[in-house]
Amino acid sequence: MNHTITKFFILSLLLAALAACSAKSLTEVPAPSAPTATDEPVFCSTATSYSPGVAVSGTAKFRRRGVDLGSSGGVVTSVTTGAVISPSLPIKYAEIKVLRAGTVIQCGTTNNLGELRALDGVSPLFVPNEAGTYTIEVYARANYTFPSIGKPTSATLSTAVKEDIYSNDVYKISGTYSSNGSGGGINTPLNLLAQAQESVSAKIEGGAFNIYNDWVTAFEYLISTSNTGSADVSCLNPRLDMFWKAGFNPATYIDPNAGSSTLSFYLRDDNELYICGGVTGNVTSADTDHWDDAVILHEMGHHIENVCGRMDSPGGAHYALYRIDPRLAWSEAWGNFIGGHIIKNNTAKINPNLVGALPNGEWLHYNDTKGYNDGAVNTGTSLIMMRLNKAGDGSGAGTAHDPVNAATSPGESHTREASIARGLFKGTNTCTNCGGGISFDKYWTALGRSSNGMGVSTSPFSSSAKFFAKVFTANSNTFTASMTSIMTDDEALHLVGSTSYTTTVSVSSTGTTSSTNAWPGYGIKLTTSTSCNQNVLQPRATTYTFARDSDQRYSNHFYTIRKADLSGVTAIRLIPDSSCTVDLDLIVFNSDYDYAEDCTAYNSTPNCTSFAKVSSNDMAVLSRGSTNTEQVSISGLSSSYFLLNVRGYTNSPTTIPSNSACVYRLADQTGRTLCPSTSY
Amino acid sequence: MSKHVVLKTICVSLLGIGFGYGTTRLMHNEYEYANRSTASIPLTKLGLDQASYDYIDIKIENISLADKKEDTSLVQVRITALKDISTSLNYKWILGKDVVTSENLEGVLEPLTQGQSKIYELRVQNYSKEYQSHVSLSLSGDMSGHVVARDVIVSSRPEDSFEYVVQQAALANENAPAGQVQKLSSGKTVNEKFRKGNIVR
Repeated sequence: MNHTITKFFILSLLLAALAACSAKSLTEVPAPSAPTATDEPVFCSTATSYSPGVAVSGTAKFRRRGVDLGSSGGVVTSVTTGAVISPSLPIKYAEIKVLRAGTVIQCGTTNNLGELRALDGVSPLFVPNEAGTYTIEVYARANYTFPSIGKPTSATLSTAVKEDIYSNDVYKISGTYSSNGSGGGINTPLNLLAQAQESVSAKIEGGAFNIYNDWVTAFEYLISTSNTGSADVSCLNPRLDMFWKAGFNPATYIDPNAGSSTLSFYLRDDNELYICGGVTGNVTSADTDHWDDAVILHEMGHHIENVCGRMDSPGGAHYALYRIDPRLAWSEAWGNFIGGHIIKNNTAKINPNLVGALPNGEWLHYNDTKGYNDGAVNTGTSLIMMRLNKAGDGSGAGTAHDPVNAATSPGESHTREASIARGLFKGTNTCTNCGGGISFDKYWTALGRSSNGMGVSTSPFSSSAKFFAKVFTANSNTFTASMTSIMTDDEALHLVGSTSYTTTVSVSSTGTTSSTNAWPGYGIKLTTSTSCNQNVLQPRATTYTFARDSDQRYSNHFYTIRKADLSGVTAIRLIPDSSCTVDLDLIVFNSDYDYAEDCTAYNSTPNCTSFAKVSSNDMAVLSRGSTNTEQVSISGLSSSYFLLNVRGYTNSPTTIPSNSACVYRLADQTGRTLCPSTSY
Repeated sequence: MSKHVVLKTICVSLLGIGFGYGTTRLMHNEYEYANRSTASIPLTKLGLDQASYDYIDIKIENISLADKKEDTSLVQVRITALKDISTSLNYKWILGKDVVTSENLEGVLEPLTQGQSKIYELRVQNYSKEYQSHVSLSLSGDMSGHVVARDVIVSSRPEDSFEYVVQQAALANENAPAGQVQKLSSGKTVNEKFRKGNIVR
């Protein structure tokens, strides 16, 4: 009996446990399982000859939401997403599949008007001379080679807009084409239309095709000899994959708990772009980017930089209000610039309704919106609006959000992404407060991988300072007075070597006042030349008002070093003036470094709560003593490029005077002065 | 070995497995993920947006979620000041399609000192487990010259979203034995693809 009771007890418990496991309620979460990862469907690239055949007629177009502008005195003051606009826009150069009874029987491509064409984009699209119905699919995918007119090589548009990283489904629209056969009279054209309202089509395919259209438009602009001259643009050929899903925040891929913190971004090693489609199924009030062309083009700007120049950006959060890593400021500014510039110069292709709505027909913005207003839904607001032709010094109508006095803070804007973006925009566009007179092809040269470009492998540490120096070279070593004014009066984007960096300070060791160089230029080469002014670092306290922890403009100087350029040098010494009250250090970074802040703990802001000198794997050599007698040996370094960082340790913000000035020079192991180059 | 002993062994083993599995399920927090380096980075857009992240933390959650649409659900937003917020900001509830409430949808968030929190709650109908709908709260204003435009959204059926699919994939990968983490068609895992150094915003 005892055994029976025990068995009964055990089995009851077991059954109860099993029942509990199998019970299903409304709130129960199923066991986690990963969605199946599948390959992208094969591109339709086989032309089939049908003779005689029937030429299919029709178009593929997409609808998009428009933009509502608020303005005052001829100046746009707000940009929000509005109702679906008319007319619809053509889906250009897109893949076509023709199916009969589920089997692909023909491949084609839309032309620049969105018309259904054969693979060459010109010839008619033929189907068999058989009466019947055919399914025609047009994909948000292209593999189209443009004729190489005026260019050394052809350019191939290779891209796809896909739903997610698991399914790899490419967006498409489809319809049924009814053919009467060649003798059966005129067939009705098939006009396909991707929709922009979630109430009409939950997938909002128009959003996918709008993203596609932005890249097609940017691509066409960049391969045109009108904009890039005879430059080889085949660097744009690598496939660009774009992922977007209505109602989905792709930040979730990075952090599953991202929640409402929306993000669009680019993966540099994968040539993949991720565009925000909303949050947890919400596309009406959430931040979405599929109609925000400037945001989409910003990410495409990263791709352009990555494949045609070089991507030195450390990535991470960027702060338009702050002085940030010059590599990051440059890369983000280039994205902001592309976001505004492509729209300004292709407004009709991107949003035809804007042309008549804009004051002077000029698009002058980088903008980001959330929600939309169309009468039925009225949630649209502006998240970010950066007017790219604003005066950077705070003068004029409306103040730039990062005004800098260019006279007192020369070069500061090389660490400010908004200012760099404005400088780029004003330099090459004709508009109010613009007119730098630099043609875009000079920008293209400066960005690229030719010997005059910043993208060459022998030119690490990209920055706006280097870019504008390359533009200056590409523009026959001259800037118009207008461009110079934009750079040095309007924005604080002074060229390296500008006399504006020369500041006269009292040097304790000599007892005299001397001219010193307050900014050598980010990543300028250190040379064995011995003739130069001493340098002066002007460390700033960590306040989080205009900079993160270590101020990239004022608390740091950065020099590119390479052993081959420093013949006979085995060590680099810091020789400070005795008047310097800030602890200076020497750090040699690897070329792909992350700038390690001198902080060991952050709060949730995240602001530093515990300052301390740190080392990191990105530091090849360092000398961080408590005095200013610092020396780093470079004899053990490889032959590649490194970055020497002269850093003011600002761990005790309250003790650093606001006008601190630390005069120093760099020398080799023998005391021989090492000077920065005068140009990049 | 007798049949009884075998049976007992099987029973006890099954019970142990069942108990162990059940306990693990019970104790496991479904929203706890591997500590990725990028997860600690504020996922924000441009700096204009960033400024408000330096000052304000906002969280939204369903405190009670009705089974039926005619019943009342309670949504709560907690706003915490990460620094002193010396100016008033405006908040506005935004209700998804058909969601209704009898309460005020707009108000003013008075200045907060660092660490101080303010909780807002909204009782809504037509927001239940039956159908996916949304409630969001938008915070706006000007804070020391910085534009504030923040919003948080919560869904009545998060399990219907693609975010949930991605979360489940992350959980499955977290629980997968070494070497069996799912690879995408590119041959990379999700963590390899979305590593910090690969992301440019």
